[in-house]
Amino acid sequence: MPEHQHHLKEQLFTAKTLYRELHQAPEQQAQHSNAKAWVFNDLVQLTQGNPKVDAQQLMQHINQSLTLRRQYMQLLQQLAFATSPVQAAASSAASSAARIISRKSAEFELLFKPDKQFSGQVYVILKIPHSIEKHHNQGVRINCCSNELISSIHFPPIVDGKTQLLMEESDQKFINMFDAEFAIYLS
Amino acid sequence: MTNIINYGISETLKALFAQLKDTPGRDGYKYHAKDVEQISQHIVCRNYGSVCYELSFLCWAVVNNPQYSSSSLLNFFWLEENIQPKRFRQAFSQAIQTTSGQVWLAEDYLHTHIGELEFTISPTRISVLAVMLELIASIEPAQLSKIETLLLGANAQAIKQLSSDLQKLIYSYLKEHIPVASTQERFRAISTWLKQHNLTAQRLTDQDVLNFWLNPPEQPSYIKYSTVLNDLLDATIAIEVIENTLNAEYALSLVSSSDFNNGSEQGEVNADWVQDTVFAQAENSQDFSWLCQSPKFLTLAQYQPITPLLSHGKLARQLPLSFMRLAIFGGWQSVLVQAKRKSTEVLADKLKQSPDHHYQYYADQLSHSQFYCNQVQQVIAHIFYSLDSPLFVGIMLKRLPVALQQTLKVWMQQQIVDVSVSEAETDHFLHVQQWLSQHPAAQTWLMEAANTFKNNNKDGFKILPAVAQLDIYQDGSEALEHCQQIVERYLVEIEKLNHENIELAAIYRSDLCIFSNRFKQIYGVPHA
Repeated sequence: MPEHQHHLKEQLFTAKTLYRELHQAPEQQAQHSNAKAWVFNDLVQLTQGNPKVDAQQLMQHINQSLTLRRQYMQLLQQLAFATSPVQAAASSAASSAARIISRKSAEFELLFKPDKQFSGQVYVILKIPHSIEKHHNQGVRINCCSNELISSIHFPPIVDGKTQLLMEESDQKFINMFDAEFAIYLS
Repeated sequence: MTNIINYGISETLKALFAQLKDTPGRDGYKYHAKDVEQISQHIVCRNYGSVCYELSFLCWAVVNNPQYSSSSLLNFFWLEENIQPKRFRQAFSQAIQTTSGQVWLAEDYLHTHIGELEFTISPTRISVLAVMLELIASIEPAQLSKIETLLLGANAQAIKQLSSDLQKLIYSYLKEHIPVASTQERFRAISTWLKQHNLTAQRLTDQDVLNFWLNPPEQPSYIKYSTVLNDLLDATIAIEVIENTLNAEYALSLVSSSDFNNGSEQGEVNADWVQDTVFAQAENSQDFSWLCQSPKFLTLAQYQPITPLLSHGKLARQLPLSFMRLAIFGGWQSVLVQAKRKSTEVLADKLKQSPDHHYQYYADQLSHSQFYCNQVQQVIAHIFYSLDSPLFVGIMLKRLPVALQQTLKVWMQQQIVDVSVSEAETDHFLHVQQWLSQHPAAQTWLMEAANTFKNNNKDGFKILPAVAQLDIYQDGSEALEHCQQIVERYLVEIEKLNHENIELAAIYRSDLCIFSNRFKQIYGVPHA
């Protein structure tokens, strides 16, 4: 059989089998691997606070990959609704987090109040005087970013210019929000 | 690599394409599965040169659109999601004129004229091109700013440069994720085996498929029945296409180099021909998995039994038993593979058992899928009817009692003769409606359709769609029709096998013995 004829047959075979393998049914794929991929759009949607993104899983992935973290940071810097930078005073060499009591910017204010009934719990209050439509529909996402870590928290929709979340004082996400060494991005 | 073949495609690439279908947009899924599948066809055929070229022109138009001061691609494709024809048209409603080129939207196409290059892009291509850019941005996100820098105020040379860069990027990515050696080895093994046994597409029987699985060639290692069936039939068809089609002579003239997609023009033509043959023209390769996305015409459970039949078309009818074996024993083998991963005890236990279902179960599953296809067709007819589109007649016609079908056909033929060419579609709809009002059986059918619609709570059927969205419902109806035909013709073959309703059970008993023995050979009998 002439070589080129064989080659064409092989190409047809290859195209068909690769296509089938590429679109294997999810159950079959799951047998092989639990690998989950993310596309660029997932990062964009997360920065936009789209609730349909599996934020927890994606954040875990972002924190495991330096490249993804950089991309996500870049997108936050470009697209965030508001930001609060790393606080300048945070130069302490101490190991404990440089705790601040509130964050204020022209667009928002973030503060916390201890729960009077249950010690160890805090109400984190977010005020956005000039919120946009999506804040009323889907809530607000706060990203806390340091050089090594990004943590992300979703707040319920804004009502009358504010929203709040009850958190454990020991919750790392709470600590990061009021850590001067973390920058904050709101979407 | 002793007992499981590691096939060509990496898990990463599979997961990436799965996520392209799943990634959310502002409203539901961002990309339609159909568009993702189309890009994947370009990828597996290594036929992405022309898409990259087309995308380069589109990117030029976006980057040089004065409405974006920065991050134009991010804005156009991700934040504004101008990836449907309507939004695309709106985004380019203003002509663009720069020193290096111009872009303007005419009735059917977006015209780009950059230096000496002219190119037109149909608004209907935007969704496919958007998937391609998403793939590129996901492989290397820095590409977006690179493209913007390269194309801003750039001349025709930059378009060519970009197209070439994008091709190189994809080529090197695929090099890591699709090693071709494995499929080449598989094809060689099967084509040699077919030759040794003097088999062609016409001569291949169910017994041959079984024989191959029971006594496969030494290399590569063929263990899974499903892989044997798919590979054997894919190879058989590939050989048949090249040897017997009218295209053969043309095909022979195409390839002079053995370098797979070496980037030359020859390689491009060749890849284009491969894609056209395997996907566009083939009766043997249909993929309608988008029917399970949005609108959700079918559930995965309703669609999956049909998948192998769609994938292999006429050979499925020629080899009805092989597909029953695939459904029942192929399924059982998957259970065994999973059990093996858990422990030898679980495997031993599973090996002692029989499959959960007999052959009749697969036939019943297919009949159920038929039933659902039919029901969804009725729902689609209701949607067309409710939105004053005469397209519902086509769906309804096939489902009315035969006598009424005839009456309607005769009436419609008369209409075609009587009606002036200029008559509007809405008038035609009114005529049909009047005719229907005289026939209670048709009225009943439509009422049933309305009720079925009410009870269908799946995505895309909860409320009536907008008229502008009807295209996808029409596509869905055509795909469902195709599924129904494929299943119907396959079930006829099963019927022939199953004389007096006892044959199938007898074959199953005999096969159970064959498959059990082979599985014990493959997976071992721990407590023999």
